This record gives sequence, structure tokens and C-alpha cells, in this order.
Amino acid sequence: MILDKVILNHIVLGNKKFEIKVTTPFNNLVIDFLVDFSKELRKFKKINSFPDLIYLIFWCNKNKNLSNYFNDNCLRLGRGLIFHICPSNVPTNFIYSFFFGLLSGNSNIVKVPSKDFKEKKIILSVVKSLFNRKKYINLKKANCFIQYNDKDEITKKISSICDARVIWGSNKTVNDIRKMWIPERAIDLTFPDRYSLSVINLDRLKKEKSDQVKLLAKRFYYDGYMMNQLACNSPHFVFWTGKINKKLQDYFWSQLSKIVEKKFVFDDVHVVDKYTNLMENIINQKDFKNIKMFKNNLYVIDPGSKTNQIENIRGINGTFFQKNINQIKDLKNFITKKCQTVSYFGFTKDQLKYFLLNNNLLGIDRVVPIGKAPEIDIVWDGYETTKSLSRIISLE
Amino acid sequence: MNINSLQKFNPFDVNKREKNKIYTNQIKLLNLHHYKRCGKYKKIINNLKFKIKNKNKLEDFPMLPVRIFKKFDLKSVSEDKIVKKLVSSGTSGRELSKIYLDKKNASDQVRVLGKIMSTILGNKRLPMIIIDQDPKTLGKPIFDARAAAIYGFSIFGTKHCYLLDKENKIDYVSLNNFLKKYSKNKFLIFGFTSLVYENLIQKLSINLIKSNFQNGILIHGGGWKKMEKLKINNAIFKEKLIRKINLNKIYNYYGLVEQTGSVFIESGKCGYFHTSIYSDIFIRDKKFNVLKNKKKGLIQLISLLPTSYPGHNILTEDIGEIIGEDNCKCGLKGKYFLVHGRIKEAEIRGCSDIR
Repeated sequence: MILDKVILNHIVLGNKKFEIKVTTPFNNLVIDFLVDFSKELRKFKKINSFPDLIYLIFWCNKNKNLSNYFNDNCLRLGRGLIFHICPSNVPTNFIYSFFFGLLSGNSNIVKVPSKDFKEKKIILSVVKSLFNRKKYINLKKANCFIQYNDKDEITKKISSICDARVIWGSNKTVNDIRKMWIPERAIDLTFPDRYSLSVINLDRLKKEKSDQVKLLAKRFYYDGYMMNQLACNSPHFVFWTGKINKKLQDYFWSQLSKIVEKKFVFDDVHVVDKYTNLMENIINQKDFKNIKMFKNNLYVIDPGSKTNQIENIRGINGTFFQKNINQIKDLKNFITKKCQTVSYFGFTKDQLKYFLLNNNLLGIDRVVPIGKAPEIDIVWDGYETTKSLSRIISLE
Repeated sequence: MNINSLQKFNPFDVNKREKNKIYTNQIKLLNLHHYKRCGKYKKIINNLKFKIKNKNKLEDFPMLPVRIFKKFDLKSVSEDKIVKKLVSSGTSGRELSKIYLDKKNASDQVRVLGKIMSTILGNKRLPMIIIDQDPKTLGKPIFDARAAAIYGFSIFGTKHCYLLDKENKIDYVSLNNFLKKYSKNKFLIFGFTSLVYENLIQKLSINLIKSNFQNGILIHGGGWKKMEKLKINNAIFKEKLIRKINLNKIYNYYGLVEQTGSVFIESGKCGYFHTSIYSDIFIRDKKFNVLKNKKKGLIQLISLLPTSYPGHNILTEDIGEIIGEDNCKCGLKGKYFLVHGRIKEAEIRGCSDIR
């Protein structure tokens, strides 16, 4: 098929002549592509200064072995053409979304962020070099990356020819795009605004040596600071279960502050945003009991007992709210549909499973050890994306 | 705060010791005033556990981030006392600051602005060209900062001539009439920096004007954001005006719509902004430590004027550096400083925006 002129004008990478091709999920060519992608990416000289790209390399290698896991004894093919509408302010999100579509056996049109992230340029240059290999000519023909600012016309055009849309963005974005027509058989996978939190078992932490507390703070640093708390999977609240232990809690925060001091590079705007956000929260909330500011490295806020609606209380650039609860069961009072990731320390999987299945929860799609919150995965927001983006053919 | 008690001072002739005496007392009173009358302000002070009645150093008083005036209506007077609402000009689509003035606050601002301006213009009102459209003919419903600045500054002039017509084009007929009548003596030119650049430096056709700007005094302000993109700094800006229209008395002003009145005017002799008896400045690092002179950081501005809203102590989003205090070669007392522009916008990372 020949893509509409309006679309063609905004292609940053891909063929003018576009072919929709579907394959079985996790086919060998795609797996090779992932492996080669990670190899090429690793060659990039300054790769170590981009933790999100390091994780991307790791992710590609992790998922090359997933085909066994995926095998569900169903005959599957990709749905067709997937239109990915990716957030403009997360540098690497678009490539994961693309891989979700690719791994499930589809052709893809990917809207890349309009901002000039270095990560975006690096990723696109690697994809480009692979597309130019003879081996991947068929992938080149069946996938393209486009870039445009907020033009409904283009979004409408692509929507009208796609078989599925993957929509990342604010609630408003998701709602706006959902109003645009897609063919009757097409589906939408939506990834709207979510919030995340952490839960730490004090009774367990108490038994650890101080080194282990430091290590936990280091892991929490990744969860809390990697995306400046702007991603859906960044924690804002930390719940402490077990016997209240102010000394231990304070020790954890002071260790975190030290790590931030060493590792996090604050720009002026980060500090101004953080202070402004704190003032906003103070004005908007009823009953904060205590605020610690750790020289702007870290803000820790103790909301009062009346603070129960936490889904819209958000921090930024290292602002956390803490609450003590008796046991993990009590967490249920704070979980709404909007809750995505819970990162934890000090619970067994059985304890977590019991909590998740027996409390009539409408939220929480992901529970991971502290330190893994930022890691995007094929299973996301409750979908197994590669299954949702492929179709089953019944054969008897 | 009673501004009258400061009227006896020349605004730029008060040294550090004298000023400190006045400020530690006045800011404490001002803080208490807002604490008692503005619920949102009180909440902030309480949450920061700031002991409002203790003796505190000036730099330890809590500052409000400037953006908070965009997010909330902050008032320290009852609704019925408000006579004027100022709204920041702001780039389109962005949230706007809303500043609520009662009668006293509005008149204090005018008086203080007058005092500061008189140090440059003298006490006589001068014929005045405004590098803008006449806000009256535009019929703007709200008091935006651009209109407010024009109205605020226009009281220092007379025989007002607006350079731009309704179509935003240079009105050569009015301009030539004005110059013919008044350019032989001192006259005042006022405008936003970017509009002065666009119109006087770029668009103005020398062939179409019948006189010159040699006796003009230009007062301009409103930010260098647009100029930065064009790579025009203050020195180049001045040089271009001298070369093109022989205008050499040029004064940049710096101030916040949140602290209208206590503006800072570039001294003609040294090129620095100076604090007056009505204002003070600190430069802070990213940990909010106060920085020494000649170190760049975030600008915090203090003004004694805001009484109807808690805008007396503000953390701006501008970067600057203090050069010195009380010892400037130009002779003016107070801290003298430079403004290096707006903080860089962050590459915001998050999932909530797809533009």
C-alpha cells in the first residue's frame, strides 16, 4: 500500500512503499533483530551515561528467550498494522512499544517523541543501520517511524487504516484519541495515567544489617529518581508495615539522601519544580504532620491520618510521602483503579499473593521488588501485550 | 507596612547597616500580616515549621516559588477590598499569574515606581513614546502585565504617542508629529525589550522619519527570552540602537509582576541593576544556600510593597549573580547584580504528555 501523503511527509525512518506483513509471534527474524539491535546499541561509545539504554540492552536479551514462555499451544498471528502513539517526554518508551508490536508478529507505525532526546536519536540510528541490512529488508518494508506535533489529521488517517492502536499518555490524550475512528475489528490498548507506591516491611528490615538498609535505599533510588517521578511506575508513597520504627525509617531516608547527593544531577529547574510542587501539596492537602527537606535532595512528608485519597498526591524529583500501617492487608484502603506498580521489600511471594487475591482489589497490575519499578515489560498495565496484539486461529 | 516611613530616604542611598535594621523589622511585620490574613500562606508557614514570632535572619524567611501565583489565588485582603487584578503576560497557553491589589497596595506601587524612576527621569514628566499599541483601543478586558506596565509607566510621561497602530504597524505620521514637536528636548521612550528590538531596531525605516532620537531616554524590560534565541544580549542591543537611531540613554528594568513597583533599573553608569530601599535580593544555589557575591544561582527577590497578597518574598525562575554591595562605582548604594536569564526548561520525562 502507498501511505497517504500527509503521513509520508512525517516519516523519519521507513519505506515509502509500505507492506503490511504478519507472522507468528516471536519469530526468528524478529528475535535476531532484537539481538542485533542490542549488539549495535552496546557499541555506542557513551552508552554508560544512559542508564535507560543500558536497561534496553538488557531487556532485548531477556526477551529473546521468551518464545518458550509465550508458547500457549494456540495458533497465533499478528493482528496486522499496529499504530503506536507514544509519549513525547519519555525518551525510550517508543522503542518498547515498537518491540511489543514486532514481537507479536505485526507491522508497525510508531509515533516517536517530538522532543530531541539523545536516546531517541541513538535508538533511531541503530534501527536505521539494521533496516539497511539485507537480512532485515522485510522488516524495513513493514515498519515505519513518524514524528509530528499534535496533528489530529495524521492521527486520524493512521487510525483509519490500523488493526490496533497502542495509546500511551495522559487520560485526556487517551480520551481524545479514542474519539478518532478505527476500523470495526481494530482494538485499542490504552496506557493512561497511573500511580505507583512502595511498601516496606519494617519488622523484616529491622533484622537486616545497616549495609542491607543502604542497599535497599540504593534500589529505591532507581525506583524513585530514574524518571524524576514522572512515570506511571514511579512511587510517590512509601508504606511501612509492622511496628513503627522512626529511627530505622529516618536512617533509610538519610541513606537515600546521601545516594541522591552523589548520583542525581539536579538542574535548577528540578529544584524549582520540586519546591513549587511541595508548596502546592501543602496548600491542597489538609493535614501534613511533618516535612523534611534534606537540603533539597529529598523531601519526605508525613501526611496526617486523614489522608486516604492518595491517587492524586504526587511528588516530583524526589518527593515522597510516608505512612505507617499495621500490616500489608491495610494497604487495600489506599488502592484504587489508578494504582499500577507496588514495589516491595520484606514480603514473601505467598504473602503478596494472598493480599492481592483476597482483598477485592481493582488496582495494582504489577508487584516487583524495590529497584525494579522502572523496568518496563511485555506484561504491562495488566495486559500481556504480545497476546493482546496477536490473534488466535482455532484449528480443530 | 507603611511606605510613608520610607519616603524620607533616597531609595538608592541607604547602606547595608541601615537597611538591615529596617528590613529585619519590616519583613517580620509583613510576614505576620500575611500569616494572619492569608490562609494559604499560613498553611505554608505552619508546614515549614517556621517560627514567625521569633527573631529571624532576613535570609531565613520562607520564600514562595513564583509559579505558585499561577496555581492559586493568594490574597491577604477580603474580596470586597480588591480594586485591581494584575495578570502576567505569559506566553499563550501557559497558566497566568494572578495578583490582587487593594487600593493601598495599588497606590504604593505607583508611588514607589515613581520614586525609583525619578532618579533617572527627574521629577518632570516628559513627552513619551510607547513602543506598543494603545491598550485602550485594543479593549483588553483583563489587566495583563503588558497593559499594566504601559499604564504604570505612562504616568511618568505626557503627550503619549503609541508607535504601533491597530494593525501592529509603525504609525509614521504620529511618530513624525511627535518627534517634530518634542525631539529637541529630553523625551521618554518605553517598551518591552522584544518589541523595541522588533520595531526600533528591525522594522523602523530611517528614511521615513524626519527627526532623530538623540534626546530620547529608553526604558525597556520584560525579559530577554526572545532575544536569547536571536543571540542578542544587552550590549549588542544597545550598540544597535546607538548605531541605528543615535539613541544612547538606554535603561533596562527587571522586576516581577508579583512585585510591581519595586523594580530594578539598570544604572546608566555601571550597567548593573541596583536594589533600593524597597527591595532586596539573594542568590541561592540548588540546595537553597545563600551564595556569595559573583556566584551564579537562582534569584530570590524581596519587596516591602505587597500587602494585599503574599508576594513579598519570592523565589524566581531566573538566574543571576550579585556583584557587590554598597560599593558600586556608580555611587548608588545597595546590592548590584546581573540577571542571566530564565532557568532552562527540563526535558520533562513522564508518560503524561504526547505532544
